[in-house]
Amino acid sequence: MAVDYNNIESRGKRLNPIWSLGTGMEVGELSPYIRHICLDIILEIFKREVRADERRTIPELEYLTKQVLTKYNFQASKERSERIIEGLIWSGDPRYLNAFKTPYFNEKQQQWEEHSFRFLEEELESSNLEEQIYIYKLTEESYEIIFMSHEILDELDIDIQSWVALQLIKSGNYRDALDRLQRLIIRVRKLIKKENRLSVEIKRNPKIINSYTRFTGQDHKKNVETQFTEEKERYMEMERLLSKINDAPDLEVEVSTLIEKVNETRELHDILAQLVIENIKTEITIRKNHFHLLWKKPRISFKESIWEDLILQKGFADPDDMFKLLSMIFSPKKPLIYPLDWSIEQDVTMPAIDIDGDDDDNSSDDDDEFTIPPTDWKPLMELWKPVFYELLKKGTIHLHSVLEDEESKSVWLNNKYAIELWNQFVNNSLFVTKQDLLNSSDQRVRLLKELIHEDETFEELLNQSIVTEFVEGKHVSFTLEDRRGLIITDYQLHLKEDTKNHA
Amino acid sequence: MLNMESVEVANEIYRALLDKRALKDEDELVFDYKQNESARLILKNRCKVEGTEILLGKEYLHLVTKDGSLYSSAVSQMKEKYYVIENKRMLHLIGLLHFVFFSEASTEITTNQIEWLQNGVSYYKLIEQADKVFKQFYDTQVKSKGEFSKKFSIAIDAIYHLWKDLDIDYPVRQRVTMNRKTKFGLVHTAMKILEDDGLVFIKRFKKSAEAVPTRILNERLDLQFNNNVKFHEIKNLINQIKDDERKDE
Repeated sequence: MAVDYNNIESRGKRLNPIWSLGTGMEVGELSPYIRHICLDIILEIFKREVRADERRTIPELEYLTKQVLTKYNFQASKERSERIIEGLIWSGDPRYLNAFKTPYFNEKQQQWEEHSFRFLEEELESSNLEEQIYIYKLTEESYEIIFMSHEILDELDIDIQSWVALQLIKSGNYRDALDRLQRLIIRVRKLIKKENRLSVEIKRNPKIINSYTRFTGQDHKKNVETQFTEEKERYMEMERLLSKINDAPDLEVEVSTLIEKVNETRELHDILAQLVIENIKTEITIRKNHFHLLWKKPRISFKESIWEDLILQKGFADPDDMFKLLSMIFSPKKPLIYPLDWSIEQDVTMPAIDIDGDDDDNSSDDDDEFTIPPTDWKPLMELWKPVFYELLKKGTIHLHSVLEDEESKSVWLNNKYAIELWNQFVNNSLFVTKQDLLNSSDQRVRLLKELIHEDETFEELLNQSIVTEFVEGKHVSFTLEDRRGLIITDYQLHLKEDTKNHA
Repeated sequence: MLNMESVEVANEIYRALLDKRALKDEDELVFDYKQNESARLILKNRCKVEGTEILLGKEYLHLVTKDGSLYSSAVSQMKEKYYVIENKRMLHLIGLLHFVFFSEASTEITTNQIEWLQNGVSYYKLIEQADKVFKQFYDTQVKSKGEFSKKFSIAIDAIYHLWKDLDIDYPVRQRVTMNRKTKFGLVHTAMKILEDDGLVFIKRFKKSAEAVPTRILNERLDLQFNNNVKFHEIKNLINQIKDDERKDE
């Protein structure tokens, strides 16, 4: 016997969000009531949204949940309200940040498919992305829940709202009518935004026309214009009604506000109509003149053709080849136009991405493969001590005098770090205060610190500039162990007393 | 024809691209690029010499690097900095995490989802996926009958063992930060590299985080990888294995 599904697909899709509301979270004794609690929260978010009240961030929603729980005589703990809000935003384990997924039966394909939706989503317009502040708003699915629980459901959401507004005006409930109209305006604005986005999307990716038509229903295009005419008539009716009430002088202010709102709604509605028609025009143009854009070309997809079929199956010949593939996605870095030594410093001592730089548990003291191995300062100091003694005594010292006799030369050459320090002195003059000794990453300061630690006479070096000067025309040459030669210009270190501090 | 004006336009476009990495379609320079054929020719040559490539998408004009580029990129910088034996596996792991993310991100994009901010992939999902991928690689490697090259087998072995023993996350994590002691931290490291290049937007939540591919990334993935012509280049790059194996024998 053939089963008559009778649009079970669209009904199912409409009911899925309702069935899923409040599911998938462990709330203990609250379980029987969780749907009511969630509904109340959604209603309150809707109310805030309508009033452009931006108290809709996660912490604020948690606070709101607390209030709701208290209102219903439940114990309102922090954990509880946190869990409820997480459960409203994400399905299942909140760490996976999943959308809600439920099956629905696709009648055309005669098979089960997945219906994915959320109850809350970030409102792009009011969220501050740079500061990671997200303001949540209801999704289309949540709006449906709210409207459905009103027992009025119609194809076009504008209809529902304007109908309700009309009824309210008739029954004389102005405050509420005003509120409704305000909501109506927001709805229209939303639809305008949606149409605007759609027009960008159509141009960007014409193929969405196909799915868009499916999404909004077949008769959408045909009926759009007549629907708008109907809307206009309804507003006219509303206006007539209002002008009748206008005779009552004690309600003058309220009624004029209402008329204003009605007019605003109509204007917005006209804009929406224009946009919709514009989009349909684009769509028709594409279908008529650029139909090739809609063809599904047989395409390579990264996931299937490259990742699943090639990389996962055969790997890379050389694992380093993955960087060749990766670099196809990255932009070149702007070349540096700054002084050479600065740029070398940037390039050499500052990693592009400092993997450990931001560690949160301060555990960078253990086996870090990414940090420079700690320098052994003992041999370094032994080498540098006589240099600084001489510098203190004479106020100046030549590089060549340090490397004069062969024995000390070989000791120096065997200590790479000690030699490198010489080069660091070349870069710029050094001026160290007692303060600097405590917090400076400069290796030369570190050296001074070690020296002072050993012998207090070196404190004299503080508050003095240590300057380097090249001795033109003179060179010091080395032969390294592997017989490579190295010639550097001789230079001298000398002290320049800072008069300010000594006065 | 080549003329001074075109040279100047080309220079201006290139400079702007170096500066901003991608130019929006509305940008006047993109208009110039589309209009001025000789400027395009000049740029093409410059790219060839400097190892870069200009890609024209629907929304952006991109500048990307090629292998052996004159310029450094996030990838080459990372490689230079950490290319020492003991860190190599970390580099390869981060590289593979990028691919895992790309493969996840390219499936997440459906035509109906107009809000780009809703297209994110959560770190936990990436971790789960990476678990699967590394396991699959490892299993293939163990019973490998020449599917993988020797070098890749060694790399996979190192990555698998490194990843397997890591904790997912610190029990009490205060912020989303980069570290190499948890899977979460490593995923963030990989994503941060993408974020610094404007390729993802990272949404941070209390218990998790999510990387949202930007339009720029979507377009680049599409232009570079979903492309029949380039596919052969890529295939060649990956399929060199057979030749390698032959040499070994």
